[in-house]
Amino acid sequence: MATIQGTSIQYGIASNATTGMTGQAAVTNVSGGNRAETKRIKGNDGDTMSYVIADPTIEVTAEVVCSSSADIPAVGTTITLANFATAELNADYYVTSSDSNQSNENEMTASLSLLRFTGTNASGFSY
Amino acid sequence: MAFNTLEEKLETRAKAILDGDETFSGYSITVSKGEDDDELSLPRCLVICEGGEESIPGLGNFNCELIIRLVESMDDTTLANHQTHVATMRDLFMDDGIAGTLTDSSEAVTVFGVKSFSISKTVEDRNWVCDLSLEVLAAASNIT
Repeated sequence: MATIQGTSIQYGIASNATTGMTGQAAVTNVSGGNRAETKRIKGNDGDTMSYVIADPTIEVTAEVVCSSSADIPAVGTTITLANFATAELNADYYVTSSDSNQSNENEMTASLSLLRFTGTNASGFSY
Repeated sequence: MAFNTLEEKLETRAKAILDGDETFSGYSITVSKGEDDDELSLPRCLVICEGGEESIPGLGNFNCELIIRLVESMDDTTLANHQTHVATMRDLFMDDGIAGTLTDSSEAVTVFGVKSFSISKTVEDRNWVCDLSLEVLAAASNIT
């Protein structure tokens, strides 16, 4: 039996974490991680003989509270995530979609979808 | 060593912040904890943590509401002075480093973060009453 004393955790988003988006007031949510295309190579009996993993990427979605100078980025432009607790996410990304969310009841926010190619042959991308 | 008196620890830390501030202590406002046998006089500042709920069952980290309540008699304190005292009190806690300030190794309490603040004020009888509430995520031990 052990006394409950709490557990070490990572809490919140660092105040200096940034998406690099012009007009970002604060980042409220970031989620994402590793993706890849996969293929099962099957034998005559239908069982998988080999499993191919190719074209790895990191896909991230981010929610940003905007300042008055908000300028949602165009698809294809590059932005840089920095100072997030998950170090693997701190890198350059292509913007694959960007949404402006406006309401007369809340702060204006932007939703960003980001993509980074991480394969060995992906060095040609000029993020 | 016993650990799980989180409400008491948070109250103790909040009181220490107020008592340790040169400006606030200069107002001669008695700071008392919510669970205290002090005789309550005016002006007074109460720091109250009535409880909390585990954030994720099994972790032992708790969401707690910490209330700092400033009460002053309008017969003794002008509204302008009361508002100055309120601003001083609130500024001490409405600080982006407050989680680290509330955390204390000798008290064995860790505050991971402050989720939100809420503010309110009212008049009760002939007293100015002003609250600041902090929603904190905390644990009753030293966690690094």
